[in-house]
Amino acid sequence: MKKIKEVFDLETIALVLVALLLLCLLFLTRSIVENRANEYKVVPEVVTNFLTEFVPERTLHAQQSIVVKYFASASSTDVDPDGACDTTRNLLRVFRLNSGEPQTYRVCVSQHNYIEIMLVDADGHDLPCRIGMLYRLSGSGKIGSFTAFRLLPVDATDPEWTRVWM
Amino acid sequence: MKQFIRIVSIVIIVLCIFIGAYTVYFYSTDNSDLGVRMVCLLYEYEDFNELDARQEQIESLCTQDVFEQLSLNNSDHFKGTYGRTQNFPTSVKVVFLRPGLVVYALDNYLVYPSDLWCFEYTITGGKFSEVREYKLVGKVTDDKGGLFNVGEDT
Repeated sequence: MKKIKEVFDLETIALVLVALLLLCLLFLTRSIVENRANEYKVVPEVVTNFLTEFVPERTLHAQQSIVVKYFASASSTDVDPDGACDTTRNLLRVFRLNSGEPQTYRVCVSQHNYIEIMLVDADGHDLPCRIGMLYRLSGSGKIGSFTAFRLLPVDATDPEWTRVWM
Repeated sequence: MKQFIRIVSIVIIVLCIFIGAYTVYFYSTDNSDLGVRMVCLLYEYEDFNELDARQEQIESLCTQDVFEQLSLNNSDHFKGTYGRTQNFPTSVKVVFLRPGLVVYALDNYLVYPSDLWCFEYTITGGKFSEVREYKLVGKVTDDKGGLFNVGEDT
């Protein structure tokens, strides 16, 4: 008993425990790193605010105001007779769907400077297809540069397939 | 005896730190590398014979469900993917990369250089456990031309 006490003093026990703990962590490292790689990034507030306001909006005038508020490239003066600038018109080309009236959206993928959303109607049904946007924030905190697009599944068995080739 | 236990513990601690750091580095960069590698395995080829010979390699990187989804024998997948490039030499140009996401263009006789596709994936246990593929359609940009720089029209 005395010999065991001599061998396992406090320092040795601490070292053995730390070694065992690190050994356990080592076995978990791969799944922890994989889970972190699969995690989505936080969407910047300016993007979520824009989407929250823009998606349910129906009138062109209000949509134009929202776009001017959140996009650096949008102008409130350089507008066509219908009251919309090029940026608004471009965004509407992507966000206006034939499949229903969107009320809100859900984020499908969010990575650094990239977001994919699915529009959702008032009953909570998805309105395919997904919409993707690659963006860069400007110094003023607005969305400075962007590319927006629809994401059409390549596989016709995909539940997001809209039966329409665009 | 005490010294021996201490030395063994210290060796284990040092080894764990080194292997752990290597694993974190390797898998962090490997996630994107694996995505690009899979896209190239799937869509970069001289002809379908080369692609056919690669099926085992693709299978080794995927779960069974994902392999059935991506396999050459899946006619639904074939139509939307190899139907666009057919039996012509094809190479992949990666235009945008994030963990779990590869946006690419194809250099192929039948495909417009500005057409883009998106390969989205989840890796679990070192294998592709979920894959979704899309074509990017109706691209719109700001007046400076947007953020994808590939082909003449993007």
